[in-house]
Amino acid sequence: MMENDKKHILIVDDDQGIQTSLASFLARGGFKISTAGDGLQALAFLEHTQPDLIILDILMPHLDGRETLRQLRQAGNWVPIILLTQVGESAERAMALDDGADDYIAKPFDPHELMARIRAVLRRTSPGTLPLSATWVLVCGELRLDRRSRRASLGNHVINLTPKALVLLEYLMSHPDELIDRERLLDAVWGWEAEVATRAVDARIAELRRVLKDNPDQPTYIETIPGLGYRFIGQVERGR
Amino acid sequence: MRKRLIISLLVVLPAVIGIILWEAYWLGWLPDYVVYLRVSLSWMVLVIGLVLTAFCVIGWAFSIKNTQRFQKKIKDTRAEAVDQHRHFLRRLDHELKNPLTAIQIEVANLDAELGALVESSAGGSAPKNSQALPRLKEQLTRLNELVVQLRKLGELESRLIELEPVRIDELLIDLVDEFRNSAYGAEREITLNLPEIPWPLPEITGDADLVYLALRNLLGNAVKFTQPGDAIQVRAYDDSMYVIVEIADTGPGIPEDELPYVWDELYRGKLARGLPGSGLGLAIVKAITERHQGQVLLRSRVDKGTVITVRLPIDR
Repeated sequence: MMENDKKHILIVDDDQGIQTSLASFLARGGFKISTAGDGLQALAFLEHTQPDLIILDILMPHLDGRETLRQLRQAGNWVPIILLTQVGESAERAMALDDGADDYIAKPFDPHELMARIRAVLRRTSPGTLPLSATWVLVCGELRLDRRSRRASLGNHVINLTPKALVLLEYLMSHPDELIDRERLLDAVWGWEAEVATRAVDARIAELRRVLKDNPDQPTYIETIPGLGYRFIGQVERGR
Repeated sequence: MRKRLIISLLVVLPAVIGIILWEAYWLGWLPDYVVYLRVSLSWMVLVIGLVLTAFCVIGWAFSIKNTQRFQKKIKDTRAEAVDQHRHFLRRLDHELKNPLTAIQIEVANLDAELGALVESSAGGSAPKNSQALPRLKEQLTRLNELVVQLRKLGELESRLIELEPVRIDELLIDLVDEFRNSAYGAEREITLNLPEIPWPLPEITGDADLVYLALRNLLGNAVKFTQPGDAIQVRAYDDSMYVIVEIADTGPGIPEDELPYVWDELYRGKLARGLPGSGLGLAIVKAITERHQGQVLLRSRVDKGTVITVRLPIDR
């Protein structure tokens, strides 16, 4: 592959160990890598170069990841961003998506998993356009999810969902057509790893299906991939 | 401090005045008279009685006030200790996370580099069959697990828990099913006892996923510490205030001197040392139960077995 064809990734983390190890790991995966030590350095870098994707740590000195993300989005820069979250709280997770991150992964993470996420985000996003994860209203046919007011509706009816089911639906809808395994959903929605996997995820998916009147055998929205996970199969569009 | 000084001055004041006057009479600065006092015995006993009682009452009041102050201090200190402990866990988790992530990435780098080396040297000097890397990964997984559990524990004590109706009986059916289908669980005799007559188990209000996690840790322990062929009984009932779940096993039991420590973080009993685990399982169970305003109780006899009782309030 020519040097110019390589996707360019900016790693922003104040931890030197992570910066260098991750840089060499991703370089091996065929990416061109730049690094920055905090939000200010990242913003300075972005003034002259536009990478294809940014990996952004949250807890950093000077300008933290969340504020960096906010400033970028406010300036209309929709470069895909994967956040490295610190605290595994589900509230923080929902907030990361609200702020317009494309995905997030909690430390400590498996680098191969990060690689898979990077590939998925790059596939999903087309340069210069507003990513689904950065839009307030997601629409799929009858189903409409307003992320700001934390409300979902089906046709003209507001539907009642538990907070967790809502975050789950939000995550599925902002990653349409992507096979998402239970571990990843747990990590994203619950903030834990595999422990309560099967039950917790399956119970919430069942809740979503019941409320959305989605037949698992002929789904309109959520498809089960046996033994692997779930996929949101509806066509998701930006709403107003 | 100042208040205490004033009080002690007031206490010695009469004695000081007495000594000064006594000295003054002896030095002849004041005319010394002889005073005869005539009191009826009845009045004398009354006055002595009243004075003694007055002293006792004053002393008593002081001691009550002191005890209260002392108790408040103990409570404050304890709350502060809990708080500090929580902060410590968070810092520990935070400080472990970055190096651990970096090690994990470097191990993946090493893996790839070794792979490339083996390919290029075609079985030459490269350590093709070295088990060092797989073993390293195994240990890394353990460390990873510990950090995740620590984070979970730290989060449990502070995060908002979801409050929705939870059917404990349904959770238990799923749980026992999960374990019966696991390799270890299939070798033990796991029975589930749920009330149906005259009414089934009432709902509680709480976070179903957390309650499931707690019960899963407990049944997991029961399976872990027993031998194939041992019996494990999961039973639940209610007493109009609480739903009570008991998980009992015919395992080796816990020695009495270890019982006070089983709920502590990172504590691992003598029997547990050869077995996988982080030492955080029961601490997590305790944190989850307390977040639900419930209680946990462990009873154990060596060579007989262990019963753990979880009580979760029905109405909150």
